[in-house]
Amino acid sequence: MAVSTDNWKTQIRKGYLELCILSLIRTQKRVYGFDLIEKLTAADLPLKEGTVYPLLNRMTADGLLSATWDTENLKGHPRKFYSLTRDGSRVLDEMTEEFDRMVKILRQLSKG
Amino acid sequence: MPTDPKLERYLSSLDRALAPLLVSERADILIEIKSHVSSALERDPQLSMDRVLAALGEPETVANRYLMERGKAPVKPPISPIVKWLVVGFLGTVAMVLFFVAFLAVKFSDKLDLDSTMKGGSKGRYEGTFAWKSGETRPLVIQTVNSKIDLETASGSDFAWNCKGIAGKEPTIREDEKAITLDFGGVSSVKCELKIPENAQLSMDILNGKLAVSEPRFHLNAKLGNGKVSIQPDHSRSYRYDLSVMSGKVDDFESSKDESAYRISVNVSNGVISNEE
Repeated sequence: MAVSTDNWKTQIRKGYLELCILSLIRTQKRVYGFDLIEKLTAADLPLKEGTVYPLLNRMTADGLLSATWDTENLKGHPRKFYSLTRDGSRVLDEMTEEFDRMVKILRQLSKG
Repeated sequence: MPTDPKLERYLSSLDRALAPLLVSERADILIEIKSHVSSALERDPQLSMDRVLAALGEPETVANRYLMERGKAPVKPPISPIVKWLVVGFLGTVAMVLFFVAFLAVKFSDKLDLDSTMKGGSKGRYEGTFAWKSGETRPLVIQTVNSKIDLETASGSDFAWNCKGIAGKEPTIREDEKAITLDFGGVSSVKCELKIPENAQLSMDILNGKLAVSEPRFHLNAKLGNGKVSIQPDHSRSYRYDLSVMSGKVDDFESSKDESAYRISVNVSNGVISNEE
């Protein structure tokens, strides 16, 4: 019976997803939930829609993101826009640095 | 513009499952999810409401993710509504029968010759303490079925319990990185005095019973199926209340917007939340 990597993938994707979300918000400067999900999906990042909103909610509560409701759009349903705070930007830099470091370490280990 | 009934049902389930959060937080989440659904349908008018909601996931699952991200205890996973109500009805009846039997047993326990091989001393009285670290962030979870619980703030730094149970089963305390749990092992009918350390986050889910909270200097997240909760605030402290009763009544409590206020969140299905003893 082959061992599945699903468990490992789920674990590693969780941290990776946060990094990708912060990175995308930095690039876009200002983005709303649905748009964010579309862009992540377009980049081939596997995700469940119901996972993203709770993450955004927590990151906002932690002060990494600032959120504003925008009611100006057509069709009359308000949209919640997210942007990086200074803390969020700092955290993103730290996460990116750590991620790059981990890739470097793995490469080193694989060389033997 | 009328809202789709399926969407309303989804949002309603989501709202209920988010009960531990403040009402303004719930409202924010519901509007955002509703906006997501509208955006999805705009982007692809061919999509059915069922598909969009399925892509989000079961409302209880989504709610649990919100709660877990905020470090709160998750709600139970979803089951089909019919099965859920059959099970609830059955358990409710069993619970009532057990509660009645336990009540009789307690009433006549002096006349019964209880098993002398029981651990922990005379007639099922159990006491214990657990050293509580200052600045502990993990919630304290009490797992019980039917019970009468008196909550007070601990004068020292330990979490302490003094309980009377039926059968010879002692409550066990265990901890992992998520929580510290006092588990009564499904023993029905438990009567306890609990001393809760200051600033702890206490979480309880009781099926039937009574909860008396006296001058709490800790945070409480309690759910009671049937029964009465009475809360006596410490008048030298401020509290942020989130109280709801599905069928029954809630007395008035003075809620504060202060950041440092103790959060008291109580949800009762059938019963009363009272400000008297």
